[in-house]
Amino acid sequence: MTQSALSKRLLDEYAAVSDSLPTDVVSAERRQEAIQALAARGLPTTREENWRYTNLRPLERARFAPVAAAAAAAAPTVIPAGLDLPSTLTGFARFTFVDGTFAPELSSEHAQAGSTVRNLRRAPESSARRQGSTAGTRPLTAPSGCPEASLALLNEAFATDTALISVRGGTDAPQRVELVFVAVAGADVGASYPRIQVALDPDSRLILVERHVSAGSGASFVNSSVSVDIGRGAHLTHYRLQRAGARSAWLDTLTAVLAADGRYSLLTINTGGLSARSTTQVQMAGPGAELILSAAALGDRQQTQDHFALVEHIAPRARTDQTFRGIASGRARVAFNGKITVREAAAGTDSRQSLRGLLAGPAAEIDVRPQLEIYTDDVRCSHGATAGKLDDSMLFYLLSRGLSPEVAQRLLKWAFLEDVVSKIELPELRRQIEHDLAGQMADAASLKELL
Amino acid sequence: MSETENRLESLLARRYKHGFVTDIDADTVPPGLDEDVVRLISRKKGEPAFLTEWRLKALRHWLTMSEPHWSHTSYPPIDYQAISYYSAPKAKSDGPKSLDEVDPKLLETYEKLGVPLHERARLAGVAVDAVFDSVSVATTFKERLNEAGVVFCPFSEAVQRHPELLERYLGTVVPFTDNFFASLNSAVFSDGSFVHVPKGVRCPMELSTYFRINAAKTGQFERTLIIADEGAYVSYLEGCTAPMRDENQLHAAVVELVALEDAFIKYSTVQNWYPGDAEGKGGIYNFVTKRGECRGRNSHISWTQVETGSAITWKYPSCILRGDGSSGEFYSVATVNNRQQADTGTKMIHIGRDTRSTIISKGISAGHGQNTYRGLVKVLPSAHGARNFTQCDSLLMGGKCGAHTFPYVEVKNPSATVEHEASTSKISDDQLFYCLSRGISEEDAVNLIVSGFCKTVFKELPMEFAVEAQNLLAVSLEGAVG
Amino acid sequence: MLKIDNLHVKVDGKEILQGLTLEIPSGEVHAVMGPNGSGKSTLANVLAGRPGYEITAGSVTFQGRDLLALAPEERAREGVFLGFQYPVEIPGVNNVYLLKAAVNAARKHRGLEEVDAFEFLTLVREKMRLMRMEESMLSRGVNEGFSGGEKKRNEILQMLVLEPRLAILDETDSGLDIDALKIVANGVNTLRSPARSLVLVTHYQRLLDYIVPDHVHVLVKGRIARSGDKSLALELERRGYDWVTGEAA
Repeated sequence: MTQSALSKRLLDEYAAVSDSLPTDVVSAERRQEAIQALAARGLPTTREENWRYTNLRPLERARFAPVAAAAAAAAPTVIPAGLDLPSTLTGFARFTFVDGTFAPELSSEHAQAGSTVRNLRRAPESSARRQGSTAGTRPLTAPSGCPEASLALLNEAFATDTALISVRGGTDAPQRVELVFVAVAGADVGASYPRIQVALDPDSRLILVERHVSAGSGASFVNSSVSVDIGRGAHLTHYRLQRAGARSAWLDTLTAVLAADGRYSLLTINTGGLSARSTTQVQMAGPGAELILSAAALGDRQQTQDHFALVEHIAPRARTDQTFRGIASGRARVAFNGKITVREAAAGTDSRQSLRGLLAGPAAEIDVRPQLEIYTDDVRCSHGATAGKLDDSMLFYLLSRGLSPEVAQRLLKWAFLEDVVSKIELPELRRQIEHDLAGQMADAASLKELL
Repeated sequence: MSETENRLESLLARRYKHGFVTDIDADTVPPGLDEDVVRLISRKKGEPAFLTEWRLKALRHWLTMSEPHWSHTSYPPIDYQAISYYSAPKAKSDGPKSLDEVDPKLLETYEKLGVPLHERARLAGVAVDAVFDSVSVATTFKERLNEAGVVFCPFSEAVQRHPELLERYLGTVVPFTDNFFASLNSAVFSDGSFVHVPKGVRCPMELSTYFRINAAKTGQFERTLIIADEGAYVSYLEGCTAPMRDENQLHAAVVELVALEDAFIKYSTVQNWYPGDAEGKGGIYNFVTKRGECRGRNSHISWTQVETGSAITWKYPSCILRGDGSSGEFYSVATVNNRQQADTGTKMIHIGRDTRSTIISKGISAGHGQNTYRGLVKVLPSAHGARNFTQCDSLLMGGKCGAHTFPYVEVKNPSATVEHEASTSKISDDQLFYCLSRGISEEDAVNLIVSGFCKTVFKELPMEFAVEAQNLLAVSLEGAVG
Repeated sequence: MLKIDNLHVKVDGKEILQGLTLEIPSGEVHAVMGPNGSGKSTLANVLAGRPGYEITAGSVTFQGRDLLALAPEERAREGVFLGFQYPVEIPGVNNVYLLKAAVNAARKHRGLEEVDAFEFLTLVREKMRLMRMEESMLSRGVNEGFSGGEKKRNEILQMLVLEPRLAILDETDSGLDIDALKIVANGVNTLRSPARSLVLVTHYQRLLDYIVPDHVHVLVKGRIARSGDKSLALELERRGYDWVTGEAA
């Protein structure tokens, strides 16, 4: 389908459902602006520099109208029988969204004094005002209007609900929140639009676990959008675990802004989806801000795992530490494009990037792009990138100790991800993830004793 | 319309008005580009039909293309129909009559470079007679080359003497469809160098265009083709050390290298086209396509470049590693100062088994200069056992300059190993202080540290060029510190 | 135990071992010495089955079996142990996990049950005390961030736990200070037994003060140029390798 035909279909689909879209989630005006901006710009194509590794074919086939609009607008969410959700984490309040709509029966709230978590849909308008939340009605566009955030516009236009988290300062113990997004319906029925807004007041703390899973083996179309606002001295630890169904398209945009001395530890693990793409844009807006961005991706069969991470330093003395580990098996493509921009005012910037891809399949592909764009001299920036097979000397070492080639290879693959997995600070979550990864690597048996 | 834009246009126009039409009527083509112009160029050079046709195909293709803007540079739009595409050498009367008429700053630069006096005059375009002197020098070399069976001649001469080689190799590495500037070059190229080293021959001397390009003063659209037959060896030097006073010119050259089985080609460039003045006025737009193909088994192509000149540089000397066991290298120093912009790097395309590539890039940014490394390492599914190592470091001098690193690593063979490392930092205060505490002046200390930073690249250059490159670096970074 | 006959080995097309013949009976300790580039490490690596070595002629028999026909892991399970000259760091692979996996691989090969976790740890702790290693080194990645001396001690620890029939120690003494050398030597000596053979590949005689060999061989240009008892090592120390290389030339 040509770009213009696609844009036209986008507009048509929007026009058909726009009246049914909830205005308490996104106002009609903002929806209108978003869809117009997106149609004018066009949906991304692989001819664009920062989309060249993405599998964008699902965009051509997808129905953009949300699942919720396809069903009767007020119909209750259908929870599929036998839905297997990840086990809950101790001390975490869980909020579950099915096809982009809040599912209270799958959620478990723990009262936490220091924060407000709610979904916007059906939330009384007055409560949003009472909380004085800054996140409530803020548009989800990128800090500097970057074209790569275009899929956030798609979410803005069609969103059916928003998970709204605001954290107040003054308590030492971090707030703990878990969001679970379940995709059920196939892309032929409609799209699902997970949407999160997180705002941390100065000096507040939050640990956020965000999961994306599928129910059943349907080919879903998920387009998520996350906006993060980290106040002065606030700390956010954010785990994003994407385990969408094997035939799903999972497209995602996250934008974050860090104020002075804010700290953002963002760890993503992408294993699911036929076509997965994460766009992460972080702006280091305050002096002394710190970003630790760690990402792991596993691709097998025909999967495409693509991650574009743009970090923009506009304030002095901020620090970015970026780690990527990707394994491509089968015919999969695993790509990571990490760009760090240091503006003139960002003196004293310190950034490190370590991007490594492992080729583990005869027709697999690894693409890594560590990019630096620097406009001032008082910086210390470095990056390293590798793509290749397992290290021969490590392999031989293990063989020389009697391990079989299969076990040795699995062990080294496992170790390869360790730079990311070891950064998970919650033991309970780490165990879950390790089990998931072991399962993903199809060798749970031999690795179990490791765990 | 911006001032620069105005100036570019007026320069282009001026050349039309005062340069060629009045002085050398017979060799003048009016500004603009169409099939008639291309046919005219081809006819004037007495080219065989296949070449005329090739140029025309290139033109037709070029007309369907639009100028690329993905590079990290900015410049006013170029009006390609305002350029005159065939320019005979300037008449003697056109240049300055003696050294007294040459910009003293330019002469000062030559003095610093250690260029001998008669050379300085020649480089400044003064004494045309001196050029004839060195042409005769070149002739003595030619005899030695003839004995070895090496062909080294201007491209237009090769068209007459070796049309079969041209027909076989021209455009096989850089096809006329390759990119906007390469297509333009294919349609209108003026002259350039042609080298053929026959089977098993080690070229008995370094080949150099150091004199010829400057002397001929053609060179907006040169085309160079170097073929090293099986087991041949050739080292080729290209010196573009001809500052061009105030002219603001588009320079869109194409260089093609073909290395057959076991052949070895080393191509070194020291580029110091006029970079424009401190405010960014004038200077060359250096939009060049350079590519070599390691066609045969165990062939080797090595690019070394020292880029200190030009207002804008856009070039990616690349290697297509097709032959099994072939290897490619790219060693680069690029400096930008004042308002210079450079977007340069390489592409290493691994196709054959056990192919190897090495990329060492050193970028130095000063003043308001913007320096970009852009490189692609691509390993295709067929390139079993391919290996690449890339190191690219940037040095920043002053808070107004920029250093950018945009590598692409794309690997489709699971037995390949690709490693990329890069660092960006300002010149080390500790190193600077150490030198100062030993009584070395700040300027000397900076030069010392910078040449240390570039050492791994300089050592790839032939001796006399290495010295020149070091001096050039010092000159081009003048005023960057303190 | 081990019989090497007329072994020729090429590395990158260059012949490094040029007809090496050597027999090591059970229970003996043999030192293989030689100048740099004489082929000592090549010999060690070939015996362990490292890829990249082309065997052009000759044979190696280990306990009556064709050693060269076995994959590296099979050799290990049969009881061949290589102590690496430069042990590789493997971040992310737990040191104790590797040990346990190695022990179990060998046990399974012999048709034995997997080792009991508690007994195993008790054994490892005991051996670590012998090697004067911090217990924290167990939970770290294999050799990750270890100093040169720690890596060598870790090699010997693995050997003590695996109890090989034939151990080849490649320059295990290099990079060790005198205290570490004594610890390593002590560890090696505890393993000496009539059922076990040891090959010490070394450049210097120093190690042999602490692990006294039954035989000393001097390797020059890929062949054994001279063999003798431990006094040969002392003579070499005194007269230098030129003495033998001069003769061999």
